[in-house]
Amino acid sequence: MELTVDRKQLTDSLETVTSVVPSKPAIASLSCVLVETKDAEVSLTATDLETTIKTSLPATVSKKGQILLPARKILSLVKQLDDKELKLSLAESQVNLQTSSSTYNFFPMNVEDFPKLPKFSGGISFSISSSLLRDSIQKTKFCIYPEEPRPHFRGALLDIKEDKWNFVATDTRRLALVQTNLETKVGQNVKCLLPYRVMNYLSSLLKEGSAEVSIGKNQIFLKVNGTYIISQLLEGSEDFPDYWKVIPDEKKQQIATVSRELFESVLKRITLFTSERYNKVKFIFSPEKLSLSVSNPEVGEAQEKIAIDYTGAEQPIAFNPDYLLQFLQCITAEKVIIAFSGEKKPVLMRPQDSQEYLYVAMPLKLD
Amino acid sequence: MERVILHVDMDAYFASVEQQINPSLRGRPVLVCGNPLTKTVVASASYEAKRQGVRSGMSIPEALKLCPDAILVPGNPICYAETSRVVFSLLSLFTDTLEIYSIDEAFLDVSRTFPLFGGKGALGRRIKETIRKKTGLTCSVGMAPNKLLAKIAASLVKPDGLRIIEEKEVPELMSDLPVEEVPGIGPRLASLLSDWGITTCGQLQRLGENFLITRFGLRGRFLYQAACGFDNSPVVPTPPQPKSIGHSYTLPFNTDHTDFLRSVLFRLAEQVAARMRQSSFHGRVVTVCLRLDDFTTFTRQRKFASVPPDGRRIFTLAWQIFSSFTLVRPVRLLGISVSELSAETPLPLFPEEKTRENLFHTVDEINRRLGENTVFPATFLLEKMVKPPVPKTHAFQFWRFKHSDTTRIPT
Repeated sequence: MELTVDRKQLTDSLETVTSVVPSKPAIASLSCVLVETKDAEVSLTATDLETTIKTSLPATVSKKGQILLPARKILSLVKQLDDKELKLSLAESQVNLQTSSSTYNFFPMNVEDFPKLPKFSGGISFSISSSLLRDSIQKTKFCIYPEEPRPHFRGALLDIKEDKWNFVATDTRRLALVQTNLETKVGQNVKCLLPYRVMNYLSSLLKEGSAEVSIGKNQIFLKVNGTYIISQLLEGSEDFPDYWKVIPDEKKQQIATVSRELFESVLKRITLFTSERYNKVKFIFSPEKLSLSVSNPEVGEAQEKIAIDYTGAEQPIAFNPDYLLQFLQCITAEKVIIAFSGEKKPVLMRPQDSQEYLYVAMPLKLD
Repeated sequence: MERVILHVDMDAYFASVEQQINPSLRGRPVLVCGNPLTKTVVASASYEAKRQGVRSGMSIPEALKLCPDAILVPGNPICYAETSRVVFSLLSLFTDTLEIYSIDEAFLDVSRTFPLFGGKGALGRRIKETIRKKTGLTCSVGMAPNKLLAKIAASLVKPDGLRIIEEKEVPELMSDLPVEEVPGIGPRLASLLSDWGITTCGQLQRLGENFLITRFGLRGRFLYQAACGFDNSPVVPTPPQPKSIGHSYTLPFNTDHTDFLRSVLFRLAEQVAARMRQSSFHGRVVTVCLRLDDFTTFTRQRKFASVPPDGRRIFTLAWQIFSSFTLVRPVRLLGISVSELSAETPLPLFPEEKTRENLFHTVDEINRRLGENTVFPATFLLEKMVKPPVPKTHAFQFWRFKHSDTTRIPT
C-alpha cells in the first residue's frame, strides 16, 4: 500500500474516528484504526464493538492495500507534524509515515485481527436535517446518566409517529423532550433508544445539511457528511415509561413568565451558596415577583428577588438549581415559561416562543 | 496547656425520654423494652426501677419479679435519636471538639474553652443546666485530664451529678477504685481478677505491667494503664453527618462461590439502602471492599450521577464493581458503602418510581415497628440456600477442571 494525503484532512478524519476508540480496549486491535484505500480515497474505520465510525478522505493512491495503525499514537503524531502532505506506505513488515524531513516506522498489526464490521440489513430509512438531530441531542443529553443500571435510561428515546418527531431523555427526576413535525412522513413508526455515547459522537459530527438514518431491529446506521456510524441500539425501548403521562398540561397550571437571561444570572449567583450536601434553592412565586433563597450551613445564606409575569397565589417550590441551569443553558429564547401546580408536582418549563422544547423537573421536598 | 476532658452521660436515657414525652410516667418505674412483640430484655430502666434492682439487659420477667409495678414501654428509637441530636447540638456550643460516643454519651475536649465559662465547675453546671432547660433531661458530667477518667468521674456520680477529677488526686482515687468501675473491664474479667484476689485498681497496678502483658497480651498494657488512670486517646470530633454509609460482613467460611457472594452482596446493599432511607440520603459513590483469605484487601469505587436508597439499584452498581475484580483466592469479607451523600433529592417523576418509594416506606415502617427483617426481599433466602462450597481439595480442582462448564454459575 502506498498513498499521499493532506495532513490537515487526515488529522480531522482521525479525530472523528478516534473518538470511538476505547481507552481500555478489550482486544489490542480495538485500539487501532483500519486504513483502507479505494480509488482516489482512503477510508478510516474504528470501533469499540458497539459503535463503528467510518470516514473517508481524498488521497493519491499509488498502491492499494489495508493497514492497521495505533489510533491515538498516529493522531498525536500527525497533529504535531507541520508538513502539508504525508506519505503512508507499507513496506515489508513496517508501516512508514514520511514527511519531507522525517520518517516514522510503525510495526503493523495483523489486519485480520480487526473485527469484521457489522453488516447493516433492512430497516426503516429516512433523511433528517442535521440541525434538528443536533438540537434534539444537545437539548436532552444532560438528562442522561450513562452509568445508570437500567438500560432504557442510558440513552434517549427516538419516537417517530408518522410526521411527529419526539426525542426524549429522562433520569426519572426530570425529563427533556424535543418535539416537532417532520416535513416528510416516515414510512413506519420508530421507537428506539439511542445510546449516550452515540449521541456524543453525533453532536460533534452534525453540522449543516441532512443526515441519512436507517433503523434496524437493534442497530442504527447514520450517514453524516460522508461519515458513517453504525451502532447497537439500547435494549428496552418498550420499558421506557410513558412520558406524555408525566408532562403536565399547561392549561391546568399556574403560569409564570421570566426573562431567561435574568433568571440564569440570578441562579448562577445563588448556586455559589449551594454545595453537594445543601443544594436546595427555595423559590417563592408571588404576584409579579419571584424570590429565590438558599441557606447552607457550610457557606451562608443568599436571597434574590426578580420581577416576573405572574398573577396567581403565592407558591413556594424548592429546586436543585442545577436542574434549571442546565435547561436554561440549552435555550436562547428571551423569556421562559414556568408552569406549576404545587410544591410536590412536576414543573413544566419551556421557551416562551416555542412549544418544541419541553422540560419537566421534579421539585425537592420543602421542609 | 492543662488537658480537660468532659464526659456527658445522660441518666437512664431512653426511660427519661419516655418520661418527658409522657408526663404520667414521671416518678414511676419505667422499663423501655426492645420491641413490643418480642419484649425480651430491658433496654433502659428509669431510676425508680433501678432503685429496686432492675438493670439494663435483664430479661423482662426477671425485672418484673424485682419491680412488679413497673410500666413497660416499647422503644421509640427515632425519638431517642432526635433528642440526642438536640443534646449534641447543645453540647457543641461549648467546644468545637465534640465526640459523640454513643446515643447518650459524648466526650468534649474543653481544654481551651473551660476558662471562657468561668472555670471547670461553672462549665459543668452550665452544661447540665442547659440540657435540663431545653430537654427536661438530667445528665451526669465528669471532668478529668483524660477520657478514661472523665468517664469514670461521670459514672461515680450518677444520676444528675458533677464530678471533677484533678490531676493530683488521680493516684489516690485509682488506688481504691473497684476494677469494675473502669470502662473496658467487664464482669467476666472482673470476676477473673477477683479470683486472684484483686478488686481495686491499686492492686491491679501492683501486679505490674510486664505481668499483665504476659498474661493478657496487648490488653494487659491497657489494663495497667487504665489501672493507673492513664489514657492519652484524643477526643475525635464526630462529623455532624456521616460521610458514608456502609456495611461489611465476614463470611462464615472463605469462599469464591459466586452465587453465595452475590447473595451476601445483595443483603449488604439492602442494609445500606435501608440506612440511607432512614436519614433520607442519596449518594454518588459506591465502594466495594473485598478481603481475601490471606487478608489482602481490595477496595474499588465508582462515581455515579446518583445512587438512590434502593437496595436493588445499589446492588446492581456494586455487582458491576465486584465483577471487575478477578478472584484469585477465596473471599473472607465483603463490604459496600455509599458516599458523597446528599440529603436533597428531587421527588420521582414517574408513577412506577413513586410506587417503589412507597413500597420502601411501607417495608421500612413494618420493620421499624415489628423488628428488623420482619419483611425482607426473598433474595435474602438465597444466602441460606446456597450450599457451603466444597473445600478446594486437589480432587475438587480436578473435578472442576473436567467439568469447568458446569461449575460456572450464571451471573
